[in-house]
Amino acid sequence: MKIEVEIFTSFFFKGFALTRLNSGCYYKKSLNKLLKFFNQRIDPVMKQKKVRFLVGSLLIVGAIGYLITMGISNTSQYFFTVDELMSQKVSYAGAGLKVKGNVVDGSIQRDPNDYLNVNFSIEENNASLKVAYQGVTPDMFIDGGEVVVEGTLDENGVFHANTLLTSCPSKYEAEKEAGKMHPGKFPKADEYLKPGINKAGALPKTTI
Amino acid sequence: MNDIGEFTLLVALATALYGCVAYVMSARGNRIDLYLSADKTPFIVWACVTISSICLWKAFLTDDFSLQYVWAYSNRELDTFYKFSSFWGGQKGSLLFWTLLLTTYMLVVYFQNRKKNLRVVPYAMAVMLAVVVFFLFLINFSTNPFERIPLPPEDGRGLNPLLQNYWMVIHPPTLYLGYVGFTVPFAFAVAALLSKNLDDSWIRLTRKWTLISWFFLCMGNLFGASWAYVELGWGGYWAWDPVENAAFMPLLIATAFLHSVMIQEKKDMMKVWNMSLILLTFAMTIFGTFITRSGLIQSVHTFDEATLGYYFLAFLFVIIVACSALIIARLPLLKSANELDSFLSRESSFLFNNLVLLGIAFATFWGTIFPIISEAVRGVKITVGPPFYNQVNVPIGLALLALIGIGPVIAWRRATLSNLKKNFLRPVIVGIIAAVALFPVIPLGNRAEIYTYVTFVLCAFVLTSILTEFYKGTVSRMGLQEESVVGALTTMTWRNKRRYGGYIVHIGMVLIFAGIAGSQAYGTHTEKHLKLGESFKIRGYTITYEKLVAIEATSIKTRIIAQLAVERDGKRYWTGHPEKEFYKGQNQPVSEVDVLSTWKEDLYMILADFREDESATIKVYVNPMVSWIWTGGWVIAFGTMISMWPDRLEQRRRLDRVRRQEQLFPSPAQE
Repeated sequence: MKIEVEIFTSFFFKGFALTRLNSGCYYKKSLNKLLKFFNQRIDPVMKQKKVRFLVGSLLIVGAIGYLITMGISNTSQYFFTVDELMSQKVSYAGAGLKVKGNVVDGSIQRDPNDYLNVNFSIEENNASLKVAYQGVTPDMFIDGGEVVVEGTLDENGVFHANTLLTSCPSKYEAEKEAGKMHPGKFPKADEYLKPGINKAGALPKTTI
Repeated sequence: MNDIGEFTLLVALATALYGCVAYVMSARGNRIDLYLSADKTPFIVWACVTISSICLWKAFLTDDFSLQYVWAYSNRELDTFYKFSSFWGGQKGSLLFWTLLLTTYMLVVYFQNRKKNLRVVPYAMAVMLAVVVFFLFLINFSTNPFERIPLPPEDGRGLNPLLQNYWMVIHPPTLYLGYVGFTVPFAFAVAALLSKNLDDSWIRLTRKWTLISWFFLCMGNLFGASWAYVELGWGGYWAWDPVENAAFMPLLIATAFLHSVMIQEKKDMMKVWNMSLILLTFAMTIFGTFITRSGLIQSVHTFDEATLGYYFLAFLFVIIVACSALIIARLPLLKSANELDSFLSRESSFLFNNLVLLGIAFATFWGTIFPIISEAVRGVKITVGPPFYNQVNVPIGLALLALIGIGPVIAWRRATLSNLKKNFLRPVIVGIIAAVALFPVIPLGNRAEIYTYVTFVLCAFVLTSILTEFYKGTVSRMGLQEESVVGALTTMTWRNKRRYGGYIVHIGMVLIFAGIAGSQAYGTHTEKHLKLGESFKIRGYTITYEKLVAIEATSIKTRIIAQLAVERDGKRYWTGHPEKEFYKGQNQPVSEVDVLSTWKEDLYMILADFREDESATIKVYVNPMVSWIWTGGWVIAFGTMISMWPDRLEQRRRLDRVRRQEQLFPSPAQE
């Protein structure tokens, strides 16, 4: 059989064919080697040392493992999209949460006395959630933008966010995926500037 | 041109495939004719990939929007500088760039080694070519950068403004040079396993490569941190984002590898361990790419959500299974010649350093993939954020810091009480003095502040132990050679580049530790919505909002700049100009922060928002000691340069050592 294979296959396949023929015994050989490696005699002093180092290393590994488990149980947050959160049977009020959704058009309201106090709603698949946030909002925080909020839910179903993140680059890519291929649909100058700032004379203009 | 680019990629794939097979077969069958033919492939593959890259660059520079990739990442108004760097702005080009770097590395390895080590090098080339085949396969059949748009548009979409920063030209190539570089030591390790040449020759051959890759990866991480610091405008430099972790984990494992190979070189121990570490390092670079390309894990860095990630997952699986099987098959040949003797020895301090580094890497890994695991196991996605990483990695990091001080000075084999006293008396005393001196000065209110206090004390200890080494060496040299202090110091460093270069890197690490500790614990920030002329106070600075100006900088860019006066002790100290930039075609403005950086603290200003009545929201951070981190980075760069510098003396010493060992233990080949 082996000879036939050698004769009838081109040189290109020879290597593979040989390996396949030998593979059965190759496997056995390495298994034997492995067994030998583990069964070799170890003199008692060496063994004692080995055990000591094993214990020492295990202590370190154990300590690190303990830190990781404690870290997870202390700091983890549940991650939901808005509709997933709404469809949960259990109430997650008070627990650390991270919720993803899109800002509902026209829902962004700022407190006239405190500009940094923002209320808005986020939605995903027809479920929506009210969010209260205190702080500076990111540049990409706009109607329809995708945001991730971190915080807690109170009994009235209002989400108190202490972090507000926008995920921009993926959206940047998503547009391309959606097939909006043609530039030329660029917003005109007064569309992309925030209202007010572009009004001629509103600000002193300089050119470089 | 585009046709040429596309065609050369195909040629490169075919050649690499042939080369990979031919190298292996020539080595197995002792076929010199096949070897001579295979030995031409690395150069051909490199040339093809280079031509293809030049074609893509040309398309960018000549605004050829018939290429979908060029259209998506460039436009006519883009600066030439950024057109050049748009090459790696997206998924497709970055894969081509990766392949370009990989083949270039391969070519250098080829020229370095083709005349020697005929038993190992063919296998190493085959492994590298196999990796090249994988990437070329992706580029050709899944993400072709030369994909056309049938009706070429007038203008491109432009580069994401966040990427229009000079770091864009520096950071990704640096990181890639590091990522890609680990393919070389990995290839040589696999080649050593395949050809059963399992002495430390593969480590010696690739030591420089490991160092260079480590250096670039380290710099890439630091550059990324400083890019995030100046560009993203959130006052921080590291967010434990999955993609940051993806670059951080290989760095940690490579650091472990870098240290444990010394034990193999000097003591002929830990062979299996080193093999596993380099395999793991390479696997981590692929895993990192998988995270970035799959969109599986939420991150701010995401490329487009393609199925590309699963190719990487499959590749990763193949690598891990194949290499583990290979290591297991070669276990009997990987026996260590020596054993660990005592806990208090340099060998075991290296072992602990490895465990600690791997511990940080594992904690980071676990946190990164935890959402996926929890979703698979419990059906609920649970995420962990920076608090998790800080809580876990800070204590382990402190252990690591302490080991930096202990490892390099503790005696080999077994430390006795007297040499412990000799080596550690001074550093410990300085540590205690620092602890006592800092105690009344430093606030110890919360956990972060206590950690910072511990870090500073440890930094004092470590720094003393390193400087003592320099001092001892210099003094003994001055006694022998009658040289000046500076002369003795430089000659000593120059004569022992590896050792003292390593110490300098450690000093850099100490600076980074101190900088991180200081900025994490004592930072503060305020955000205020201000009308013109209003002011507020933060940490002794009085900040007054003076004016808001709009400037049309170019036809595509409008800058809105706020002017803020900073007063200290009643005197005008600095004027800050944080701004927001609006780009044509991008609905998202970019914040440009303004930073006043001193060795003591950074004053970091962001124009967060502004309104019609020229009132604006200003956010100000005071970040202490951030500049220490960047200084530490430069110190590390300097130290790595020294230890990488070619060294004849080192070679001679190694030869002597080998000769001595051979006299003591005649190798079986000579019997």
